[in-house]
Formats: sequence, C-alpha cells, structure tokens
Amino acid sequence: MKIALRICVLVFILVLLEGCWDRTELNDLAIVTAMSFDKAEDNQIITTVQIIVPQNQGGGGMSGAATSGAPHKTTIRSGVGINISDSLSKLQRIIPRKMFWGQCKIFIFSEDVAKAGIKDEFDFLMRHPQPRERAFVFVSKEKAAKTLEMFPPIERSSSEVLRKLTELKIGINVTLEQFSIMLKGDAEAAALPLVYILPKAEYAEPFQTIPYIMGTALFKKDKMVGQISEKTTRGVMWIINKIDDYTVTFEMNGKDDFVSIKPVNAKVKLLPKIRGDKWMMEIQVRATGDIIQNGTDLNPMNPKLLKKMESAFEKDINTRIKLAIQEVQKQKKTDILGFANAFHRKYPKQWEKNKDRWDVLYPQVKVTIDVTASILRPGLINSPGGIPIGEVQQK
Amino acid sequence: MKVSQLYTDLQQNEDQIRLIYANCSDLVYRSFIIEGHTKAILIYIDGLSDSAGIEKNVICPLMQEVNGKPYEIGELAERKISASQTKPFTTFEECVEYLSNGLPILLQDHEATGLALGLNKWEMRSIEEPVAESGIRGPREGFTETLRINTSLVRRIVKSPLLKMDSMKIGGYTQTNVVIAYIEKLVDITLVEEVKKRLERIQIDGILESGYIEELIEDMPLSPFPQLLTTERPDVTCASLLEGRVAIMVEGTPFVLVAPITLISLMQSPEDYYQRFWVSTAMRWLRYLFTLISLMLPSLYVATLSFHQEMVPSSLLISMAASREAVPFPALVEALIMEVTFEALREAGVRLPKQIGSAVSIVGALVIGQAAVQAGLVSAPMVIVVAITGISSFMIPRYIAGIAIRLLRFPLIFLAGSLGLLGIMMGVIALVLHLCSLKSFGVPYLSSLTTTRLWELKDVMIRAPWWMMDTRPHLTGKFNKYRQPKRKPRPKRSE
Repeated sequence: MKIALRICVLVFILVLLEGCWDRTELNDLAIVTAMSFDKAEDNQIITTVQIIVPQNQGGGGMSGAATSGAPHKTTIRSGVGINISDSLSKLQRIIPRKMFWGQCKIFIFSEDVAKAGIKDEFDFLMRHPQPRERAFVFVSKEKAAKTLEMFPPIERSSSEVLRKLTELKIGINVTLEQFSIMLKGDAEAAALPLVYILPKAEYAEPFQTIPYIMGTALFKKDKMVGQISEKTTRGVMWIINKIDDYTVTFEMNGKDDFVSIKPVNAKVKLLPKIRGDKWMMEIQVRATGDIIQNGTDLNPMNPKLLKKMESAFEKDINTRIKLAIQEVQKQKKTDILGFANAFHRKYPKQWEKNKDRWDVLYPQVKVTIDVTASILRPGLINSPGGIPIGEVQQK
Repeated sequence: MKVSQLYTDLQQNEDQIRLIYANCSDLVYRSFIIEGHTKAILIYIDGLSDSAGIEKNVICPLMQEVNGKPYEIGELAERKISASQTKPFTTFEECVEYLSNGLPILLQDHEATGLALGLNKWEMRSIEEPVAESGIRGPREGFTETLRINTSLVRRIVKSPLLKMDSMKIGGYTQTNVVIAYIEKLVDITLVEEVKKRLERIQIDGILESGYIEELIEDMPLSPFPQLLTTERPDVTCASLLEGRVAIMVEGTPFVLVAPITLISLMQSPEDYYQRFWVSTAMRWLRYLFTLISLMLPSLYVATLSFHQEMVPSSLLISMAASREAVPFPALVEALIMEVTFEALREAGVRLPKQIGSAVSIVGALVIGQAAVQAGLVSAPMVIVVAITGISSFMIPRYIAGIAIRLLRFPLIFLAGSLGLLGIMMGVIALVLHLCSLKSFGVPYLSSLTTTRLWELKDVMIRAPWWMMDTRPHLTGKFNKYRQPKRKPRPKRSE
C-alpha cells in the first residue's frame, strides 16, 4: 500500500519536474514544406525555405480571411551562410517561429550548386535528425528559390505540386535515401529529376504558376555532369524497370499512322555476361499493353496484323532503349542504369578485380537488347473507328 | 442481546412491546376479544401490512361469538385464521423481527406464544424495463427494490431445484436481507463459501445499496475497475449463474452483484447472445475499438500535436495548424478544458430533471461546441476528438466500467502532455500491469484473454454461435464443463 503510494507520488513528481521539456506547440512551429539551395557570392550558400501560413489555409473555422483577394498560403524566407547549418541559423533570425522540417518533403538544388558538388549539403541532410529520408530531391534549372516563390492555382504550394507530380511516376523520382544509396553504390553515379518553371498563363497573376519536371540531371560522384532529355529519360526508365502506367506511341508501316499503347506494363531484366575480356549486358524486356488509339486502317483482331503491330511496338521500345544507351553510356559515360550493381551481383570476384577500372570498362560494355512485346486488348472497339468497314484492312 | 421470553399475561406483553417501540407512531395496537371470552391483541406496523386482509381473515373470524371452549393459539391458527402463513414465536426478539418485516402479530391472554401472520404487504414499484441496461432484443424485465420479487424473477428463469438461495442479514440497524444465489453442482462450492465468508465479515450499521457490499468484499479496493458485475437484468444474472458464478441480491436495490468476473465480462452485452452471431461479433469488435479510443484518443491527439508533429500527414497537420492558430492555450490545457467540460455536462445530464435535459444539450452543443470554436477558445479538431471520446465511452455495456475508463484517460492526457507517446506508453504499461495483477474472487481479471486454452476465446474474440458454445468458461465452470453435447448446426437429413 505504502509502496504503491510512494510510486504514485514519484511518478507525479517526475512528470511535473521535467516540465514538458520537449513540448512544442503547433502554434510555435513554422512548418517548412520545401527547402532549396542556391549559390551566393564568395562561395556562400543561400538556403530558402517555404513556410506554410496557417492563417491563410481556410476551412479551419477562421473567418475574415477572404478579404483582399486570395491570400498566399505559403511564404518564403532566405538566409545566406558558409554552409547549410550556418545559413539556417541565420534564417531562424528572420522567422519568428521555430523551423520544423518534419513535413519537408522537397529538397531542391540549383544547377550551380549541383555542378559545384553537393557533398557538404548532402552530409547535413543525412546527418541532421530532422529532415526526412523519404523527401524527394530535385535539381532546378533556374534559381532554386524561384521554384518555391510561386503560388500554384490548384495545389496549396509549389512543393505540393512537385510532390504530386513525382507521385504520378511520370519521370524518375529519387528520395534522399535512394540518392544516398546511388552515390554510395558501385557505380558512383546518380540521377535526379530536373525542375523547370512553367511559363505562366497570360491571364494569371504574377507568380501564379507551377514548377514541373522535365528531363534528368546526371551526377558522377557528387557533382552534376550533365543532363539528358525527357525522351532519353524514358529510355533510362525502361532500363531501370521504372516504366509504369505509361503511354507508348509508335509509327506503323513507316507512314504517318500512329498507334498508342497504354498502360504499358514492363518487366526488365539486366543479364550481365563476362566472356574473357568482354563484358556484355543483355537487356531483356517483356512488355504488355492495350491499344488506346489506332490511327492506322489495320484491324487488330486479325492475329497477323496484330503480330505486325506488336513487332512495331517492339521495335519502338528497342529504339528508345538504344537511344538512352547511346546517350548515357557512350556519351555521358555515367552508370545510372545499374550495370555496375548487376555485374557485382553476378560476378563478385571479377568485380572485385575490376571495380577500379569501371570508369573505363563501362562505356565498352556491349549491350544487346531483347524485347518481347505483346498487345493484350484492342480496347472497346475492334476495327478502327472513324472509317467505313469496307476500308478497314482485314488482312 | 439477551433473549427474553414472552409473558403469559397479555397486559405485560403489550406493555413490553410498547416499551420496545416507544415513540413509534406507526404501530397499530388493536385489542379485541376472541369469540367473546379471551382477550387478545393484534399489533402491526401501519403500511407494511395488509389491513384489509387483517380485517377479513383475522379479526372477523376471531370476533364472531360462538360459544365454546377457548382455543390454544396453535389450534386457533389451524381452525380460525385464514392467512396463508402463520408462524408461532415465543420471544420478544422474534416478535420485533416479524413486526419490522411487516408481519402482524397476534397475542392472546394466558398464552406465552404469539402468532405472526403472513399478511405483510407494502407499496412497491412494479417490474419495469431496466433503465441503465436497455436493449433492443431480449427480455425487458428489470429487478425491483423488493428482494422477493427479484428472487422470484430468477427462479422463474432457472426452475431447477438446484438453484439455491442462501440468505443472511447484514447491517446493524437496517438488518438488510441478502440472498446468495448459485446453482449447485455448477458452482465451485469454495467460491460460495468465500462469498459467504466475506459477507459475514461485514460489520456495518446499514446497507442501503449493493454498492456498499461491493466495496466491502472486493479483492483490490483501490482499483478503478469494478471487480463485481452489477446488473439490473434477471437474464444477465441467470446467464452468470449458468456459467458457475454467484449472484448476491440485496434488499432495497434493483442492482444485483455477480462474482467473479473478468475484464471481458464488462464488455459483453446481454444482447450479444440474442442476436445473430455475426452481428454480435462485429459489435463486440466495435466495442473493443471504441474502448481503446475512449481511453487513448485525447492523449494521442495531445501527444502528436505537441511532440510528434512529423507523424501527422502533411495536409492534416496543416489544417490542424490552421484551426489551432487562434487558440491561446497549449494542446494539453485545451484537451483538459474540453474533457472536464464534457464530464460536467454528462454529470449534469444525469442530475437534471427530464424537462430541462434538452436545454442542457442545446447549451452543451451550441455554447460549448460551436461558440467556443468561433470565439477561438478551442479548436474544432479538439471538439471532434472530445465528442468521439465521449460517445465511445458509452459503448461499453457496463456503465461503471465506462466511467472507470473515462477517468483513466485524464492521467493519460497528463502523461501525453508531458512525455508524449513515451508517456502514453508508460501509462498503458502501468495499466496493463495493474490489470494483470487484479483478481476478482481469485479469478484473474484478464483470465479469458490470456488463457492458453484457445477455445476460451470463443466468447472473447468472437461470439461463437450457440451450437458451438459447448463449454462453460474454464475458471468458473470447470466443475460442470459442458453446456451441451457438441452438435452440428443443421438438423439431420433423415429427420
């Protein structure tokens, strides 16, 4: 009895004495949704944060917010410093609330910073306990702060726009954690999506536009070495097996007749081979899809014609992949395709011996592409719509 | 108290009784002469006896003047008095006992033996639907304040003579009748003895309600959890008896105590056993879920809002931040204000006369809810949290268990406000430890949950259909294990 009472008192005192030491009220937090890094003079760095303005969110039982046009839901502040931590501490001086990055899901590096190397910044982001490892990382073609300084018409903030776009999986998406794994991996190369700013519509108010993702930045070690176009990015996505719910449009018969296939489902395997001195890579693609648009006069219900279409589909995939190989492997010479990992896995001993030479070996790896594509469903109609039955080529 | 015998002289007897019942204006002394030769007196307490019956069955036949020899008092009972029950007595102590139970007593001159007549009758409430335990399906009878009606309600369901009802009197002044009911050969007889032993230990001046007894005989008096089941329903009582439990019925209250119980028996509603088992199982799970919500939702809200903001999805956090922007209090204080207000409203709702009840709900809903949010004193999400918590605590079929859980959420809110999720975890661990050590009449409180006999869970995780309910709960029903032979759900095809 007495002991129980003592324990009760002890717990009570314990709870009171420690005085809610870690407690931070939601009202005292500045919720950071995105963070960007730009270069300043004297090799300094500008850190810009996008902060939610809770008063302007609406719907929270607040009234009177609807005066004087649409209030901005986010605001941005910047700080300059020698490195991120320095700039952040300076940034805190101009933000009346404690910065909270638990919800920060977007990190954007400007191209300048990326080209100069992001080792320092990256170390901070991985070491500090607050940033999320699952936040997405981007490279901005323009000044990174600009991508945050806009007020999208649909989403709450430009960071929300970027996150949603990424989740659609149209381009490649890379989280902080994946980026770290890529940089530390055998290839020592990485790819980050590139962010551009959509030119605003004429009627829109200033800054009322969105950032969007287009193309890919290539990294070797921690430095950006170049970029590839959107089309090449698609090819890369085929190789790294990230193609998902995506439309393929290809030409039939060499005429201006196009067929579109969606959703394309693909299984891609990288099959490495070492024959003596020759390192080879076979890319095996198994793709399926449904016809969503048929611009030809071919009836896909005829197996012969379907075969024809399928081979055109295969050929198209083949060209896409070849294009990507050509650009990424032969020209840029960065291994973002995962070849190094594949070789390491299958030939650990040879890899150990040759891993220092990988830079030289990689551009010489002979790539063969084996595509098997099939069209599963012709869609809701059989023969091409919009032309008389008689003109449809049945055979 | 020394036993004093009745005198043979009528006047002496009357004087003695008048002395015992000095200043008692409700006693009626009716003296008359039996058949014109023997003086007699009839004494009863006004309002406890059937005065019409006394007149018709006792005084009338006795006063008829028929010449003959005087009867002895025993003979009188056999020949003249047409009351259903007559009990001779020889001491003043018995006399007082009969009188206080409403039995009129008849004393005759030259006789040291009195006669108590079974003509007690007093105003009583009729059998009504139980208020605190209403249901949609199932019997609508509830116990009343009269012990004999209550025992008869049980006897009407369990007709076997194996249903035993031991009685005892507790309370120095109230001399309250207490009946211990159990089914012989089903119950652990040591349990019955333990119950009796604990009841005999009680030395209190009065028992006004079964709550007195409950607190005086439970295993761990400091626990917030009830260790005896309280019910107003005869069907619940009988179901418990059939599981090998003991019921304690107390004069003057419709609430019957059942022991021993487990935590799960507080979660079982009588309706569970009358509805289809799919429905009952689903309802049971809903109840478990909302019990947890009722215990932890406000503390989880406080903890995430003041410590773990990164746990909340972004858009939810932003809308919570937006709604909290104008609130001047920390989340902990806000939660406490709202929870205490809700408890006050609930308590006021119980006290208030029915006519004002609707006024209170308007004040509660409009003033506390709407206006407080608009004035920026509390945030809308907090009102939602408190409302859900308040409603969910009433999903627990036993009112008293619901209150216990509602009380426990206050320490949890404090822990959440000071240590975050860590604090909640500490609180929950302490709670589980307490529940593990709790026992009700020797039966562990969590026994039906933590059993190694998987089939014990038939009435915990699910409500097994009746054709599968073949065994009684192990710890109370092991002396007569089977309820029914194992049977298939369908009639045989040849039949």
